[in-house]
Amino acid sequence: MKPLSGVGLGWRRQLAHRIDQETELGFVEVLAEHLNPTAPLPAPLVRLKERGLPMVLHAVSLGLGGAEPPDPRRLDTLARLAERLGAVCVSEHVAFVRAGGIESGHLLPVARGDEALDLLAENVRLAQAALPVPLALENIATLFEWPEPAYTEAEFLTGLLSRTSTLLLLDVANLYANALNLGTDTAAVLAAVPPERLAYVHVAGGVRHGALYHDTHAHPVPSGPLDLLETLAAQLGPVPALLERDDHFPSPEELTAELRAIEAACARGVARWKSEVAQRPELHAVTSSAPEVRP
Amino acid sequence: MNPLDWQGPEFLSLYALLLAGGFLVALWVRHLLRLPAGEPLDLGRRQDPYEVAALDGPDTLIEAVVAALFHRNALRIEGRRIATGDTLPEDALPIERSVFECAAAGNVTLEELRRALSPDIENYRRRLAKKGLVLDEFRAAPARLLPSLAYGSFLLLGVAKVLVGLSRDRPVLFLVLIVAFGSLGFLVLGSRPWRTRLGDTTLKLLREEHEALRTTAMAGDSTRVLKPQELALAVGLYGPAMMIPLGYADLRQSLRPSSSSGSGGDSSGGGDVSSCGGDSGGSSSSSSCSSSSCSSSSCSSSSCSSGSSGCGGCGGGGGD
Repeated sequence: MKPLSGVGLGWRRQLAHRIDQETELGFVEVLAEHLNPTAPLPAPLVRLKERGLPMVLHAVSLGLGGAEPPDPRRLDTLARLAERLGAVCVSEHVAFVRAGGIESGHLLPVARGDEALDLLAENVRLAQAALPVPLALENIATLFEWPEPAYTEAEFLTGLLSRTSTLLLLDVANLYANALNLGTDTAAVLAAVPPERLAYVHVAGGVRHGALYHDTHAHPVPSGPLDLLETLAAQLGPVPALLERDDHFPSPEELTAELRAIEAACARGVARWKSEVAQRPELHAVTSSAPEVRP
Repeated sequence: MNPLDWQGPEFLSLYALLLAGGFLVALWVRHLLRLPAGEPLDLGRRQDPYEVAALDGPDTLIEAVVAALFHRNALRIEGRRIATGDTLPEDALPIERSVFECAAAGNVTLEELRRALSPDIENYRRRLAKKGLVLDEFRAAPARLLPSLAYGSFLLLGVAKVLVGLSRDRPVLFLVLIVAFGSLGFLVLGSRPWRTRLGDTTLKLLREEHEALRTTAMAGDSTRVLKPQELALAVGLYGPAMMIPLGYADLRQSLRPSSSSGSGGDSSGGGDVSSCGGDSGGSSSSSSCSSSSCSSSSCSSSSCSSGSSGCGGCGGGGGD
């Protein structure tokens, strides 16, 4: 199985033709909730699989941050979809989505304390045991956080990674949104990313409404997430990055421009990283294994 | 024994079988005569969408051109009819100019366009015939005449029996009905076959290769994603039903004022379509506005929602 590399694009039906025609994509990410687990895979995905394009199965409904263990049926569905897709890994969110039988319909933040961290770590272990490929967890964007968090976002991330063997899907757009809306320390979060645990990076667009930034996945990517991506690449070297677009799908020219902008941000970061490594060769040993996902 | 002297019920049962069997054999012979046959032709990575549409049939070609011009804002819907919109781009192809001029003159039903564009259609037919994908006159004639003449002889037998029955003052109603119904088969066999068998296999392969285009066109909210030529290719391969998810249902209705707005079955598909026939129940292509099973909403939650979602914005500013 190919490791993830280069720039990827989230597979959506609206982008199926574009992805089929694109020869330079490094990988794609498929939303598990868009696939019918009992029906055959959509023909365009079968073609991508035959082409050998690495695919990630991205899920939103496991609710690993909840107090209840993940539903075995959902895990089973994910596992079977991952196998049929030949997915390199499965990714989910550090979030809870239901409690007491009530679905929130949203990705809700986990309280950043030891109790929640213990629950999350246990749920992650259950999910990892049920999945045939590695699990990567993604930081979410939120407009609120629970009162009196015991940890900062960076500390919570470090705690999660130290208590589990999960990989990390770092969403720089979510990080950017949290920085604007909640004052999250982006530098601390980026510094907390261990190179050997980073599976890939999400990049997406959003829009400001008044004092708040909304991570819509329906607007152009602003410079903020790209700057964070560049910083991350400057810190770790080449990182696989994927553009998410879920609505108001742009023209081919605009989409190409966004993909090229991500590529350029990575390239700028890598150039800085190379320059740093040239000056301090001991850094290379630390970061050289960063971007690969090993099933 | 002379079959014309057979008793009515005896003749009727055998004649109905003969006519049905004869029609199927004639269809098979017609299929065999649509030469050349063989492995699908490679039309290259960048296919001319209008050439592909013409491979499906003249009506599909016209609909592909109209869809592309509509997508470029060169055409628009005014009330229930198609009118010209922005000026035609400099690089417009001759067939696009022809359609634009027809729209400017108010001649925009499929029937009117079919008449006005016959030189353009003939031009595409010749190009495809050179590649062996559609039949030229030389090859179309035997594929059309031989089966229809053979089948026609069976029909004549029925007509003769009707005349004999009338002359003997016997009831002939059922036989007349069978002959009248059987005449429809003669019309089918007498129509000009369009594609060769090579054209059939090539079109089938093209449809398989462009499933991703079909998926995108059917997804809705894809208007900006597809270029005009890509929309033309989608219509060319999968029929005018491709216009509906993109919000061009009015356009299709204006082209075919008398047809329903159902989604499938009006592609002029099949290798045997008449160049001047109307809707001809296409092969299999344009069926089903299948639509995505569920879309976007990566706003957590287990249920799939229709429409594309705004996955971000979960929790207001929360995204995944």
